[in-house]
Amino acid sequence: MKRHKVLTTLLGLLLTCCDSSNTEDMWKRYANASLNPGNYHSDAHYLVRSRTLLSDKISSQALQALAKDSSWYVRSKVAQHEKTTPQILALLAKDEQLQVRRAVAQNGNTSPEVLVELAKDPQWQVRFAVADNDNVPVSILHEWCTSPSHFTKKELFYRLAHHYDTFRKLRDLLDNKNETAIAEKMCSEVARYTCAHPEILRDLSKHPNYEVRLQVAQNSSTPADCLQDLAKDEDESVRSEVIYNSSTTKEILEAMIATEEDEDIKEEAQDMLDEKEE
Amino acid sequence: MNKKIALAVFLLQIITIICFVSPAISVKQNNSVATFMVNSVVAKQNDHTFAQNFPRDETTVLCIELNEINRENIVVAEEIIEQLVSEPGVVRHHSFLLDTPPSLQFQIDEQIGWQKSSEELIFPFIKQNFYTALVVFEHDNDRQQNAIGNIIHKIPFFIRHYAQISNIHFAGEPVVSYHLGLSSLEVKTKFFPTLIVFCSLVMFWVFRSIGVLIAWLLAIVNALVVSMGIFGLMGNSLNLITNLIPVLIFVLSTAMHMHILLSLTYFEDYISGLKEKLIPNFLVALTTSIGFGSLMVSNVKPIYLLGKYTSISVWIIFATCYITHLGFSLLFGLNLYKKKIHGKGLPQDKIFILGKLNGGWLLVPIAMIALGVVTVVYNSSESNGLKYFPQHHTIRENSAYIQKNITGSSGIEILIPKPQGKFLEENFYRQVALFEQQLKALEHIRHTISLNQYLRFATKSTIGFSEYEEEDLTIASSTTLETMQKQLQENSPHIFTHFVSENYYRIQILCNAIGSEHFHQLKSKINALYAQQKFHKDFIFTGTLDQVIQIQMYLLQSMGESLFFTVLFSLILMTLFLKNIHVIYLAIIPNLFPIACMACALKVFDFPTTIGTVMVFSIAFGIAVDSTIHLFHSFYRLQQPGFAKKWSYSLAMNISAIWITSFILFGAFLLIGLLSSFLPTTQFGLLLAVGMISAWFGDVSFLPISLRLYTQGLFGKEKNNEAS
Repeated sequence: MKRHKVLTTLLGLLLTCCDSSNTEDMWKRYANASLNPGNYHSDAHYLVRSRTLLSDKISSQALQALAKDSSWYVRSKVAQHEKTTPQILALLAKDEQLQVRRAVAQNGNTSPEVLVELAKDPQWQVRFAVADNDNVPVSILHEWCTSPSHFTKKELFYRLAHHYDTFRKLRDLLDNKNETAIAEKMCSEVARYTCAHPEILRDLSKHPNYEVRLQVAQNSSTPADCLQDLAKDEDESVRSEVIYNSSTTKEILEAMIATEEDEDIKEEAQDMLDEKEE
Repeated sequence: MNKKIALAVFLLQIITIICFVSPAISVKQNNSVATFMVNSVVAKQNDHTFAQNFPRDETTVLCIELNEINRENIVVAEEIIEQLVSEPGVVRHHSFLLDTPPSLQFQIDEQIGWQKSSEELIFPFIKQNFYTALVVFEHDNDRQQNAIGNIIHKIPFFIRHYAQISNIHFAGEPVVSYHLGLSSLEVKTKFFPTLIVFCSLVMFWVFRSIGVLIAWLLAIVNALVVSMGIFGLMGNSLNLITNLIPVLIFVLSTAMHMHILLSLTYFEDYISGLKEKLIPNFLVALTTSIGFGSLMVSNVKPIYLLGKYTSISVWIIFATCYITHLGFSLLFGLNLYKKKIHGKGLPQDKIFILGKLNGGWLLVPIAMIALGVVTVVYNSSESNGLKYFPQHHTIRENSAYIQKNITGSSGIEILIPKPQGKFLEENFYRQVALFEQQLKALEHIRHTISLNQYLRFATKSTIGFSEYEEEDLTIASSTTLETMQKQLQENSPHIFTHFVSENYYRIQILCNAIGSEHFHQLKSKINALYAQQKFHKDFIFTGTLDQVIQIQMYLLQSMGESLFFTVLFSLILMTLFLKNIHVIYLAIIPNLFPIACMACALKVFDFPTTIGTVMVFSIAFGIAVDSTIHLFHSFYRLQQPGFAKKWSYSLAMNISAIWITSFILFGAFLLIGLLSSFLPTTQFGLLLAVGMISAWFGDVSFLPISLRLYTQGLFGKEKNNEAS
């Protein structure tokens, strides 16, 4: 035991002496790791090992081995990798590091069963990342949608704004369950985000509730064709908001002036057009 | 002595070395503030309470300077942070992208803008062009120090590799500890080899014998290995103070060896030579161990440990010196009989003349002592670890840069006793929220992090979205407050673990690096604010900055106490062993003279009182008194009347050893002082070099004047009439 300690200490001293050369060498290996990943999977430095994941030549065996890496950074990179299998992701879903579990939650290969488990994670960073995944079971989203927590709903709606299919599925479910108020609240909140998917805004521009259409009319990311439709909306407050939308083109305004029956709106449109022409 | 016995002694020595080598080389480095923690009851109790209630981890600040703040660059900065901090030893990190809900990130980007984001967050993760993360490390262990070292090594690569970033700054108490560790390792990597080469050359020049060199090195290795082995086995770690133990062992062992070797050459017989120096060396070991042992009165733990283990080591040195000569030297021989060193080439006659100087010259050391006392009392003190490094050292520049642009990285912890219960009840919450608000307005306090901050942040995260409209929680209803706490616990349970325990509510304060005067002012203001809120119990005040200031407070106290005990016990022992009460006043002036010179050197070199200077005085006294003992011993050993004969004999017996030893010690300490850029080591080396040379001067000038005046009867009973 003592001999082992002596040898370890001597080796430690030797390594300390060679430390500067090791550091230089490490960066060379780091540069080469993405080119020849096979040589660096079991490298001593975690940054070199993580770099091998950038290569197209990475094998599934290598991914499996790196999923058990001692460094959470490497494991998180495996969890992000598009070639990582659902089996490996299921293993990584139990990782103690937040960043690893979050990456699993966002990976498109993660199975719905694992996503259900991750949706119960104590850390919100992991839990809500599930909503970024296209495989997320809609039942989870429905549960969050009806949650009393404002924070949960706000995070959910923000993420839904980015994912048209998920949003669509949840909206259909709410409609099927006749939860109209919740659905309208969701649509209204999602329509506020300028980062919202254009297809979502397009859908919502035809929403029966004028409050939702009003949000779409105010959103500067709303596509021009939707604004054109909203310019002819039955609700005058919606038509009025289209005028003040920064994305509304001169052509839309000219069309509004030509067709608008409400004199006040017409005047507002004319003023805006003049302003734009100036 | 029988060759077989010599062989047995030699083998025993080798076996001892083998047995202790493993624990000796396994001793680890640790320079955290906790290592220097003051041994006071209140400080210990506060620290213990903190450790019982909250996880003991340590926060640092990692700041990435971006060319421009935008979403893409922020993502790059986060990626760099993840790559840097994914080291074993890092508990977690807090950053904008990790801690801020994406919906709020979007809100900041779209509505508020990155430049104003710091007002919205718990900590200014984004400010100007800086993306900052709080990196939390494990408390006070090897993994922490390794992780910090690895992060520091990787930083230059990331600066080169990513075009989006212009610099990375890393600061905080654990980072300072890491740099302190590196600097204190200079003793091992630079000074020790230099010392060995320097002393080997001097030894070879004096004795011209390979045998002497081997014997000397064997004794030193034996003393080093056994002393450090015991040090390691007792579970101690090395730091910037205790790193000096091996150097001191080396120096003290060399000094003792010099006296023995010169005695061996004088008597031309091992046993007689060893016997001649047995009593003076025993007395030297006793007084030196008392000199170092007196450091044990210090409340600063490393000074206590230095005192304790060096005083033990002195006896090990004493034993190994004799064991080496009774074993190796008798077995293999030293080949030194024909080297007549005594009296050759040394200005003994000129030195003798110094003893003839007028008694009035004693006023010089007396004046120096008075001047030294004044200097020490009025000298400023410094215990901020950052100030130990040169002005342009990375850690000083980084800390100053972060303090100027983002935050102070000195930590204060306030623990407020709270009513029992899982969640904070309404009245208590209002009290702490108001208290925190007032704390933030105090000068030097940059940020407070607490449950309240997270609650307010969580509230902000939902504002503008929902039917919940109350932004100010201090006026919210108790139901709303409880709902917000429940939501926070549901989403981030770790925040409750870190900031609320069953009995205490924790406020973590980040403040500027301030001196003790400003700290005490700040503490009084905090006390006054706390009193205003009328909490039902007193709060606990602790944290890194508090510990550092306490160390500073105890420095001067340690210095005074340890010097007092060293002088007292050394003089009592000398009196007892030399059986002469007059030794007390005869020895005190020449031996306080070097201490006074060192005190004046503090002013000359413009050194503040630091953890490095505080112990040199008693160490210097402990070493300086050695030569006096040798001179006294020979002086009283000659049974002939008259000062001149006695002093001549004493000089003949000792002057070569004193001269060479003083030269070795002066040279060694001067080298340490000149080679280091690390303030405590520079101070230690230069002041002890001054101490050694002035101790030598005191012994050859003021000691004989005192002895002459004594023998003339001016100080006490007249011994004889001879004046010179």
